[in-house]
Amino acid sequence: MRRLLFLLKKEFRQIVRNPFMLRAIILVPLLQMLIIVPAITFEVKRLDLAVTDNDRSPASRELISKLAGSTFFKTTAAPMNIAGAEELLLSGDADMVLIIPDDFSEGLAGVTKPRLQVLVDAVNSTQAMLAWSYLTSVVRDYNMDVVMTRGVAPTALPGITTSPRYWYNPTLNYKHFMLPGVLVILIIAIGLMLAGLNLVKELETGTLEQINVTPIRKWELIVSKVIPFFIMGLIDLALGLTVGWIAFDIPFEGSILLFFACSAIFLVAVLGMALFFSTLVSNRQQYLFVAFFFTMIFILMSGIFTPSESMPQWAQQFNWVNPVAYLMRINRMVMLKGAGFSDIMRDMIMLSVLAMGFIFLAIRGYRKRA
Amino acid sequence: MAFVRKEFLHIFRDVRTLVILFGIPASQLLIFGYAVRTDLKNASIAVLDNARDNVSNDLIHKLEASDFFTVTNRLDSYDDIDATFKKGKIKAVIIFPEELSATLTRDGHATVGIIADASEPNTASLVTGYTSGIMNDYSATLTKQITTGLPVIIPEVRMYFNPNLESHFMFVPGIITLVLILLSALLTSVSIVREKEFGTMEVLLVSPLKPWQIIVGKVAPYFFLSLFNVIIILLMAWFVFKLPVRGSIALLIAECMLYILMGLSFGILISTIVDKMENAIIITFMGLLLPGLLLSGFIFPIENMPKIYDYVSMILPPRWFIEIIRPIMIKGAGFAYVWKETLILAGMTLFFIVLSARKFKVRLDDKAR
Repeated sequence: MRRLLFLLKKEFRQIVRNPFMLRAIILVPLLQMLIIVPAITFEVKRLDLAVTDNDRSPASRELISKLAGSTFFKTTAAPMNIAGAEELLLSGDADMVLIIPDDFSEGLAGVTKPRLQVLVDAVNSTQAMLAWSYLTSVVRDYNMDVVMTRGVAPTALPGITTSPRYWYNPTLNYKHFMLPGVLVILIIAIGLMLAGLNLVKELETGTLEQINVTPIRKWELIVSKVIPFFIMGLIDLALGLTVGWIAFDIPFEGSILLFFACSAIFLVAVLGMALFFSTLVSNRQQYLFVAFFFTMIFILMSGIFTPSESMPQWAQQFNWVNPVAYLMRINRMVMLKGAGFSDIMRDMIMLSVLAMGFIFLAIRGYRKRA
Repeated sequence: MAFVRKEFLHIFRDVRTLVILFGIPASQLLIFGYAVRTDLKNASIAVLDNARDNVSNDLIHKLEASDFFTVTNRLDSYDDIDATFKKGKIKAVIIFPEELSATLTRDGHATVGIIADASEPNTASLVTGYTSGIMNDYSATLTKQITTGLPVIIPEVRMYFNPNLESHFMFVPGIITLVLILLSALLTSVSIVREKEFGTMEVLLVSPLKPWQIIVGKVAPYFFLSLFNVIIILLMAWFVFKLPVRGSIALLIAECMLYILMGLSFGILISTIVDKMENAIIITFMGLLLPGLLLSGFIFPIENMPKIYDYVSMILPPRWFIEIIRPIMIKGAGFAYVWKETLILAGMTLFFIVLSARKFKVRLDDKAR
């Protein structure tokens, strides 16, 4: 036990001796929170709409001003022809081009059929589809206006509209959604990267062999390496949460205790992973890449940016062993919906099983090393 | 020359890193191509049907039939909603009011309620967007049944560059950007700093090799490795996703080489500032990789961010590179469209090189004393 305390003292001393790292551990979570959280959003703010009005009638101008008046569109150029329109799409100056044919007002009067041509930059397909659906709803509104001014009863043009309400996040604030995700990335960076690098450094510089010939037991060494990063991870988590609360007014509906308990289990899982990976490599560069490889995969598949339920079967099955997926779910449910212990119990148990699994693998790996 | 050979040998001896180096883009292509979707597919929704008439049945049918939704629960009362959301499986609840069909016939208008779980805002807005799209379609079929010579505007759409609306068109250029940073910036800085840490850098400095030869020798293999990796990614994207390079391949490769040079010079710069590997990793990760991934427009379009990020991302090389290769790869744009961004990238590279040269010289002078 005394040996363990000595080792811990040594570890903390070493960390303090690297002032850069020390500053990084405090500043990085803060900076990440402040800079990254407000930026990551899929919300489509403003689409650049170019309009070619070949009709130039009051009707077409009415339509254009309706579009310009909506919050989704910002009218930009007015290309002369299709070639001009395509040029705008190619250069990225317009996200969407509306071409009003010269017989538009005749179409509205019933002489021909009223048509509209829309060209959309579909490189970002989700954005393209949203843009298209915004446009069609404005057009439909306009259509209703035109019909009603004819004095026709609305029953002639029946419609079902939807009235959406958003729970748990009424303003569709992306920050509320992304903050738990960014917090998780933080924990992984500290837990997996720094802890693992630390371990492998001993191996690489040969000091591990030296330690092996001392009376220090293997478990004492491993625990002494893991505890400082465990503590750092929790501190960073608290720091990140505080920043989120102060800067972004993040709600916290559920129990903070539950939150930290699950994060602690997650940290153990991550540190177990770090231990396990460190048994597979022989120097820090290799560790860097192995750890980064798995980190990327785990994070991307976890549903941090996009819902994991939209993923194909094989991806969802993969997530059974992805600790990040569990924590992501747990974090969001506890923070945003106020889920209680019984709601997340299954996820929590699975996470604990995973944690134990990684630790087991790590221990086996170390035994082999010996 | 022998020095360059030694570096190459070093790299190839490290099989594990090599495997991962090629595994990273492969896995990312796979994930972004098939797993990560910013779109809706078989999202679980619940239905609270207070109408139970043919209109609501039709609508539920339509929802089920679409690729976007799967109706998994039928709720009995409004009070069940909160509990159902808390379990975390349902994305939204569609509420059909009583006497839906009667209201529709009488007033011509009816409203269906959607309560979306907005803890995932993107999903929530997609759910409401697509649901109203389906409702609109249904309304149109109702209208057709009644047509009385009223004008119904029909907009026709043409989706440019991506007619099948594949989501991975967006990502492949981003993956290239990411992988190149990893290879050219991270690897370079780590490899040079390692020599510093182990003291072998000093040994190199006292050898007949000139400092610039040392640097070029260290960096050359990573240049070729990165280039090779890009080609592999492009080939994989072509064979697996049928993602073509619509523009000039030569231009694309040339721009990639510029970007690789940028990464290399950044790596060199970092290596002149830090002497511990961990610090090099922290800087490259936090300073280039993470912002490069999240703020450069790779996944999240810059136009959607608060205005200030437009300016902040200007100092990030990946932002410019994405604005170069996306148009070239997907829109088929030529040099005329990207020369500005190319100039900026070249400028940044020059800046890094000049800065590193000066710092390196200072260190040498320090050592000479």
